[in-house]
Amino acid sequence: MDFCSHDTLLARLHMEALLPVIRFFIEETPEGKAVTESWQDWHWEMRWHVMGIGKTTLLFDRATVGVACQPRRLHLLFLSPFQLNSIFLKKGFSLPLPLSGFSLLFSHLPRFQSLADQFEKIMRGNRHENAPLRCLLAIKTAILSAAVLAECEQESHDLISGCTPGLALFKLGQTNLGWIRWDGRHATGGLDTLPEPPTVTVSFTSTALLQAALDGQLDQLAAVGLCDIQVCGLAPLADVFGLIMDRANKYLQP
Amino acid sequence: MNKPPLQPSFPKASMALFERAAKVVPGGIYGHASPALTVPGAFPYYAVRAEGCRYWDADGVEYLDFMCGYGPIILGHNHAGVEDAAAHQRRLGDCFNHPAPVMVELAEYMVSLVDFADWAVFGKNGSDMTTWAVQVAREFTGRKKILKASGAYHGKDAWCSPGHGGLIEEDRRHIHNFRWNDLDALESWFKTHGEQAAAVILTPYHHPAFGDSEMPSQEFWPTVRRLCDKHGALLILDDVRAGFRLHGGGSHRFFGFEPDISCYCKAIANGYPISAALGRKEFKAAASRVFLTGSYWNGAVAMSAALACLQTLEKEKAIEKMAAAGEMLRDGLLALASKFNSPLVISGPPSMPSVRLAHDDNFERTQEFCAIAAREGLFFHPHHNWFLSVAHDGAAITESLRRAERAFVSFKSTVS
Repeated sequence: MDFCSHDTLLARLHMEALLPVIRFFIEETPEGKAVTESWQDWHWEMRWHVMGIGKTTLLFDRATVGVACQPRRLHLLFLSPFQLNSIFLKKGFSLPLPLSGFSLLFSHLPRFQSLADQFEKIMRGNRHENAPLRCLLAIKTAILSAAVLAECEQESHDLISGCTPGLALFKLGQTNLGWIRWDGRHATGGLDTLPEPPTVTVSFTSTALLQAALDGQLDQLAAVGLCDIQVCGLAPLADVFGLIMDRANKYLQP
Repeated sequence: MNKPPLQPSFPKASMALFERAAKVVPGGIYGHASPALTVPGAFPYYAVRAEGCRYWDADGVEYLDFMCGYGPIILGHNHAGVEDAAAHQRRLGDCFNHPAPVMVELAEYMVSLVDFADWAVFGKNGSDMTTWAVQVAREFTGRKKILKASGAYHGKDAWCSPGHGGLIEEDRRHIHNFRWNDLDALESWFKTHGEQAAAVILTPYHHPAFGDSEMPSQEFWPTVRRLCDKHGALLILDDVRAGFRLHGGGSHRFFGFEPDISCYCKAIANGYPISAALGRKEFKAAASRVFLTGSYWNGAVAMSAALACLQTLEKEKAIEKMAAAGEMLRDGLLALASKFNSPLVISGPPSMPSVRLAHDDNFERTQEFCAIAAREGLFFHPHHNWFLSVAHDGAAITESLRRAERAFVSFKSTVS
């Protein structure tokens, strides 16, 4: 199996883990909604297209029923993973090619950047501020990152390749946080509808516990024994996904 | 968000102890006994005493024990003959500057039991022996590569641990895996790595956790033996779990093949800490060059217990008794499963059955059933093979099946 270069892996993490969590941030959290409230144009989409990797689309849409027009589209082509990563890492100058929506480039791209800045501020800010939100965003990023890593990174692939195929669902109380699926060859992840019933479900009983797990400060065996974390089903699969989730920090520093 | 309420019958003293343990012991309880590997909140965590095929947890709740300490208890807990032998040696002394005479006696006895063996060494745990046997194979062949079956458990050492923490890439650089019973993969591996192969290490049949047990195909052992011989690799039998449960001369006799070195532990001393490796004379010189020791490895009490245990197994026809009890349990459980329309899959030998509900590949419903069975005083493991002992007589199995029937009734009502 061919594994990704560091740049490609990082770009896929940005595209397939970070961008969907940013989408969740603006759609589902008051903090994210607050960032976008001042926007005038609320019916547009941003398509990120990296040569050799693929596309991810972010739709910004608060249109009410009856608005039938197509959203305006800013379609950005990045010639290399490195170019995309430069935008996220804010290293050097990187201007993607606008395949469509050129007129939006200088108005809407900065909007996204301010949104990303706010996201980053929450993720990197004082750990006592916005702790529940940061925890939620971090676990979702880790879940989606694990799917990318299992696909693209040798160490992660080696870990998952010995596992029985199945889907691991992660929950906080009764709320689904996201899922990862391993079919024996490929890994996929998502934050919304499960494509099949879970093979294993891992439920955290509190945000504090989840945060401790994300920080690597949790005695997980003890937490399971105390029923603070409930694992139901094929536990080894969740265990391995947990290990892979930990590896995301190597690439995406919280 | 709160924790879900514990089951009404959950042993509260177990949890109280565990809450204390979680503060001072990593994991609270670590390793195979970790509650995380059973059904936390539904299974007991701490045991205080045991007798025969029963034990009592920290709350005084009695369980019919179908794990037998995860294998070591083969004659039943607190067996008088073994306890007497151990007590006698304890009065004389246990940890000396030298081995006690019983070491020689035990080595001679084990060598007489195991047909291919010319020598024996002793340790404390299965891992001690499997790791040492791998070293002996490397010493003898001057080669590095080891082949094992995927998902097989050979101990907690870095080359084979099922865990991931604290390992480095180099630990397993020369450890290779193939799928049990996949003879094409085995042939192919030898074709590629035969000249570097130090050993193949295998359990007598495949008994992975979170999986059904799988018996060797008819061609399996002859092919493994032939390939090892052809390529000059040793065949190490990890008989730690099954040893002396299937055949009084070691599990290779049950399956009809001869290993070069075999490792034993669980059943040999009815719960006293001792393990053993036995081998052919060709490997004795190499074995003598691989350093082997531990502070308590010459412990005379465990050796006395082992000698008494092995002699009792032979005298009491233990293998036949355990197989008969296992068959009775298996047939009874299958009949109940059929009656309650909750089909079971039972794999492996009757005295070490792996049991799960059918159509339950992720073990979730099996976990539910075993949690309910625990309430009925049955220690049925949801994803590890069970163990029977000589103490599981007909009356104990009948009682177990009666309790299991109640568990099926509750399970059925839960499902419906």
